[in-house]
Amino acid sequence: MVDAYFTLRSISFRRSKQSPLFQGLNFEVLPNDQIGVIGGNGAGKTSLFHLMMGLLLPQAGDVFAFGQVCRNEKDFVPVRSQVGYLFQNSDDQLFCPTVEEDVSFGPLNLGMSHKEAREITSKTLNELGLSGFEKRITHHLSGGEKKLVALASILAMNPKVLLLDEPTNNLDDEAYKRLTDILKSLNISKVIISHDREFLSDLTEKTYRLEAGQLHLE
Amino acid sequence: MHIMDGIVTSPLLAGATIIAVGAVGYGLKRVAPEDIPKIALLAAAFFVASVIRLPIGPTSAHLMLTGLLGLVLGPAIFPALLASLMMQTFIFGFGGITVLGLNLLNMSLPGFVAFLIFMPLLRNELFKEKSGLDASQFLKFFALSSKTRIFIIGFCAGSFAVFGSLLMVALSLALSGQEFFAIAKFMILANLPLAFIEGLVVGVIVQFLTSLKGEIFEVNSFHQTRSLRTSSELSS
Amino acid sequence: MSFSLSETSFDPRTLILLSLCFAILVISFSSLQFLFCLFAFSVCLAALFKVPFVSTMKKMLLIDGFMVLALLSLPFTFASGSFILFLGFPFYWDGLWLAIAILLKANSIFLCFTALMGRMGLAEFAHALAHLNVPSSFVQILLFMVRYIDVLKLELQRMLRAMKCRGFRYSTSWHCWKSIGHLIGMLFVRSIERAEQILIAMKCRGFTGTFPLLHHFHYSMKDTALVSTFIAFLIVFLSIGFLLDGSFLKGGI
Repeated sequence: MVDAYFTLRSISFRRSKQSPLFQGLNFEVLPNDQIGVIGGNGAGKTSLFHLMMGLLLPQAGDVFAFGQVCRNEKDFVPVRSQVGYLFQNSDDQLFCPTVEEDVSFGPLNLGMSHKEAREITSKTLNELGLSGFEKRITHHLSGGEKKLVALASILAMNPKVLLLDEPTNNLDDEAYKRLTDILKSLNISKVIISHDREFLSDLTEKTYRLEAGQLHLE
Repeated sequence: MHIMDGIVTSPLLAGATIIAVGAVGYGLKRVAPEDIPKIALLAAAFFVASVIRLPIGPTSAHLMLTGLLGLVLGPAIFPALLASLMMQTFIFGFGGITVLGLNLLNMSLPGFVAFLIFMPLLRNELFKEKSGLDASQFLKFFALSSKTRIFIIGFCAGSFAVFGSLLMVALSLALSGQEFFAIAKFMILANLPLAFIEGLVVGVIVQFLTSLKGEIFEVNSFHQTRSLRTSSELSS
Repeated sequence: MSFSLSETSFDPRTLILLSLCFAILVISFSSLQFLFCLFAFSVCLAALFKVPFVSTMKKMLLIDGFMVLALLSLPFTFASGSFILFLGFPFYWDGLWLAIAILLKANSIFLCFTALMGRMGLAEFAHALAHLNVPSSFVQILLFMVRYIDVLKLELQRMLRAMKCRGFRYSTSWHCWKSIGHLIGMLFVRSIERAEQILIAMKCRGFTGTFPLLHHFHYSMKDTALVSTFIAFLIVFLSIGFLLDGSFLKGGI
């Protein structure tokens, strides 16, 4: 119990004036878990991640992250620096002019010095095969490159868990293969939302289906 | 930094409203129909961004961003800001409907003047155009990189606009009666740090925009000539 | 026959012009007895149009909150006429009357606009402006803003969320200001690119420079009835103001 990275216990959540999205939802992420999540459009897959990151707060139930119960914005601040959340749309994630500034944004938020942040940035970029991208303008990158830079920007914070929201969307074959290889080589817990069965069976050990406000093991 | 209903004297209100109408008309004349979506979306972005509260020590303040808007929109800042102020009055409950003209002038005129002063410098920096004003030569003298010079231009435009608005608001209050002097003085002093920090942020934004989409700053130069062309096309 | 003002639809142009005239009337008065009557009039108006009480009060307090500092300082800075000493500072009565006058003006105008225009949508308002001969390019700016403000708000929220997920917090530091600068810069770039897409989409659908407007309004008897009742009651309230002796308000204390 204490070992779990995330424990969501009987979570109920509804957006104002809408029908409930989650009812009594339970979910657990253990160290080295490789979990896939599938579900129809609007089933609440992204909202599940938002609940785990404290971007949304449940009306009932508890979110435990790294052994601590998290109830408000303040509780989630330390959680966020240990979880890498890759957004569905990389453009939402990348907002700095150059790749270097974007990747070092997280480390700087963690209180690192500029020198340390720069070192981590070039190390991370190298690991993802993006060396030499430092001065490139993020906005002008291709979709695949943006996805990899976004991944680099969260890996630079050295997360314990990765939350990946449809990482393979809109990627061409080459970028797809590159991303799959990189993700396979990463030795971190992952929770992956995807519609791509092949991708999930390649990367994950178990798959949950999000349906009617609850997660069911497939 | 908005003035509310009932404070300013009627002659000042009437005068400001007439000038504001003229300024908006002038701005609209300079706009080609193709530019409407861009102006509207930038006005919307301005509206959305001005909700951000930036911490300054123990307090926090909203960014004004009028200097930035002036640089990006040029004369179109007048209609853009009017639309934005109208949205504000509508959404937040009609405070200051009679002072709309005065508030518009207080906010947009410094932005427009910032455009007139700093745009030639910025263009000179970006497109190597030769213009009458050439203060960047002066900055080059200090061996600053182009990126730094752009930041300085943005900084000046941003804080100039805030400072100009502060002065104009204070002047509007002072013209309404000497009993408002104390408030006017207090307001200027309280907002001076904002003028500085706004300069820093606008400097960063201008640097950002030039590296991503330098052509934004071209718009004003070509649409001044293009709008003339479209209007002659329409009349022929 | 039950008749409720709040559910009757008037021509939005009538409502806009009526509110505007009322606002101009209010600011042109300076004596307290008239301002009290005009305030009473706008309260009645708000009641007749069944303005939602709680939310209106909230907005009103917000507006008054903005002014409170300025108004509190007025009695001390007025510096003419009779005064008493308050904690060692001169407290001028005329300054107090001025502060009350400002408060009454602002709140009367607010209540009148909320009553008459509170139910009007922004899009409807923009269309009404177009039919009041406001240049169509300006109306289009308003309409585009109405359409896209929420889109951009969501975009900003998503970006802020992504920043928070990477440990961003507001602080008084260069890192924070720079990040906010990048954030706003990105918002501007995306807005411009969206505008470019909108223009392309418009051209693909045959846009050549003029914006067609669908809405049309009809001035009806209901509007005439509203305007005449409005004016009649305004006259009644103002005559009460004439009858009231101003001195009982001012000099009595």
